[in-house]
Amino acid sequence: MIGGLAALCVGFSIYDRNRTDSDANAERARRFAPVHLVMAGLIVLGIVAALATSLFGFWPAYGVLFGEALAILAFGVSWTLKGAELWSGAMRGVG
Amino acid sequence: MSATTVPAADRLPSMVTSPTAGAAVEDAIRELRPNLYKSFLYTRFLVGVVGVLLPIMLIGSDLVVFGNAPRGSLSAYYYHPSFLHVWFVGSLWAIGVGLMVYMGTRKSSTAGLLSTFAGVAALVVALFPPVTSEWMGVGSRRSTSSPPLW
Repeated sequence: MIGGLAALCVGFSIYDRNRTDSDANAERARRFAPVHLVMAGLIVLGIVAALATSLFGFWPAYGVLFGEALAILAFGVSWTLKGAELWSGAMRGVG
Repeated sequence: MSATTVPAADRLPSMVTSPTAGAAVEDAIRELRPNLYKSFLYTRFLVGVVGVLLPIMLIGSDLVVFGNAPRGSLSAYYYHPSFLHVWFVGSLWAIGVGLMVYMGTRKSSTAGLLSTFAGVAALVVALFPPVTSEWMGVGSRRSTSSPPLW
């Protein structure tokens, strides 16, 4: 589940970096594009931590919890940032 | 003629059949159907907020409200004898359904397939929790007999 979400965050980053519109909204999105990439990296790190715990007994008490929590948090931050475009100027008056 | 000079209305029909043209489609939808784009943003924002709150609520409440050490994984909160069980299952349903529906008209795109797959996986975790005696509170080590969250 979370592995697919990392790919989506990478997609957010690529899309925001290459947006074709040129308003302040797009500028903000381009600024946050690297953040989505970092979050994708944290998701992968979380998966690796959970796997390492399961396979090698690394940090047996909380390794899986740490990995899962890190990955879900990073996913949530990326999607919240992406959705926060809702309150930017370009979306005002729509709908 | 470059993609930026072709009117979005002309670009959209060919894009929606392309599995890898997600960004261009999203540009066209933002231009042509701002209401639809706004619904993408709403769904992304709400799914993101639920995702951020999930580990914070589960671990934080276990520590602060119940005074317990955190459980061994987020999935273990399925068996928590409190509202945290409901929070865990409800959050997974919210995230899962959000991931499955938010792409709307672009189900065939790569991102659409990925998000649908992730959404189904979230529902599977919510519907088929790990069966482990430790997590159920009866004492032995956990097993790996059901899908982990990752």
